[in-house]
Amino acid sequence: MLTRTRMDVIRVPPTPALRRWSQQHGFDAELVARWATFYGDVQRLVEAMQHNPPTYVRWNPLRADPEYTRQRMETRGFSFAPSGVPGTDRVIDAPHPPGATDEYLFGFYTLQDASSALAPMALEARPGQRVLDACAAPGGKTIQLAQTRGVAVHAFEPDPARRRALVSNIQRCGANAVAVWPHEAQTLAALPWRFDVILVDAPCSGEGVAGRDPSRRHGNLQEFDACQKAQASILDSAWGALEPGGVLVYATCTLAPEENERQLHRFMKRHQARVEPLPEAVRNVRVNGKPLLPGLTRVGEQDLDPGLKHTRHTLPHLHQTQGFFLARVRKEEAA
Amino acid sequence: MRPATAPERARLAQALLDHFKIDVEAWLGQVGGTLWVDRSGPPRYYWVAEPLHEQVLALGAQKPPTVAGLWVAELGERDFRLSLEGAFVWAHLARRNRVWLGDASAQRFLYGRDMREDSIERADAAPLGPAVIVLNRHGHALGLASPEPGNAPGKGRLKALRDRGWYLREGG
Repeated sequence: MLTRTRMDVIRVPPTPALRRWSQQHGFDAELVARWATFYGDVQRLVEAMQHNPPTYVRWNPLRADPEYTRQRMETRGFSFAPSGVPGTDRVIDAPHPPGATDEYLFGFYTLQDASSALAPMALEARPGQRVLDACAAPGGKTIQLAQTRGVAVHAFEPDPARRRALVSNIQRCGANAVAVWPHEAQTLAALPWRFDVILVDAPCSGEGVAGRDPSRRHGNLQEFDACQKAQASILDSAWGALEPGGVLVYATCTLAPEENERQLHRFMKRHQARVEPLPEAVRNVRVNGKPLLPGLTRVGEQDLDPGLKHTRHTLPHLHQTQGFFLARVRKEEAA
Repeated sequence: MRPATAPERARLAQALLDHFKIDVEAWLGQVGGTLWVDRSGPPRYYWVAEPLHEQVLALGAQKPPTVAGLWVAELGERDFRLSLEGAFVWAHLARRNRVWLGDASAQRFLYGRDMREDSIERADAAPLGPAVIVLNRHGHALGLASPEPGNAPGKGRLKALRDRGWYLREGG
């Protein structure tokens, strides 16, 4: 039985057996019950999230030819396998942490989950466009966007500590086509600027990174509520700053439909927006051999906009990545 | 932060030529982009890609961005210094004031350690200036150091000024 709390969060009471099983595996039973309802096969999902997902490197052609970097690292004992996402490989053998190599310090690659690399790909930024990364820190996606020759990127990050990390990563990777601004994404609409494409990689409850961050295994439902409100505010503001005909890509690393499909369902109603199919290059990607999962079009007892079938997920047990959600929304020319 | 004026640009070009024999204008002619300067503290120079340069100007922002492009150098009234990224992008253009380290020494330098003179595998023609670009065997700039003479031949040292290990230690 599904109930909606006053917090506007979907609650799925766990059975006693599921409660015991969740506790044995170190997860909050309420979270697990929700995942079972939304995604099925919760046993494999939880087992996958008990471990760190594989590490992925995103090669940085701004700094060095990817083949050169790969060969240099292979001579020192690293080995890699294709992730299925162009420009991103999975680390198979690492004699020492990939975040502590000379090549990392030279900016020859970034450490970025294979699923995260899909968001900049979905934006399809082209030279000459005004490109905004609205929630930019720590900068992996910003740098990826700036890897397309001729593309200039504006990166927003209001928090000073996170902005320092963003700037440090951009500098290390040699991305000279990025401007970092101290603005909050929520203030976008109030600025007199308009962008052709906007990436909103929204702050979220982060359920999808529970493998790497055990604190996410005990999320509380209040967090979903707070996150969905902040995300709605960011989306509305970004929409106001998007040129007619422009594209907004919305991404999170959570499994919570309140922050993903249901968030977009409400957004589409507020703005008469439509979710469009992701570009073929993203749609057809097979992450570690598995196709992306289509988004939910029914959550609990609510039917959502059928266009949400065009959104996509990755799940830890299927794709060997973090849990990730991705959608592409087009603003009509006449809007 | 704003585009460097012609005199500011000329001063930087002269400093790079004097210290490292780097012809920055010729380089910009090849790779594109332009130079910006941030004078909110000691003047910092940034290498900004052309499309970004045009867009930031067109935005007409009341306040400039925190950072645009790559910080490459700092040039005050008397002081001149390359940044880590300036050393990295210009190392192959320099014709003086570079030293090369072997693999083990390069690792130690990336921990911010000073180097003994005898750990230098090779160097540009002497005399070395007050700041040198430190490279690994592959010609990648590890950072900058200041050569300090010793009390006997071969007993000098390279005092680490900045190294790319900073990105791990403090960069975030």
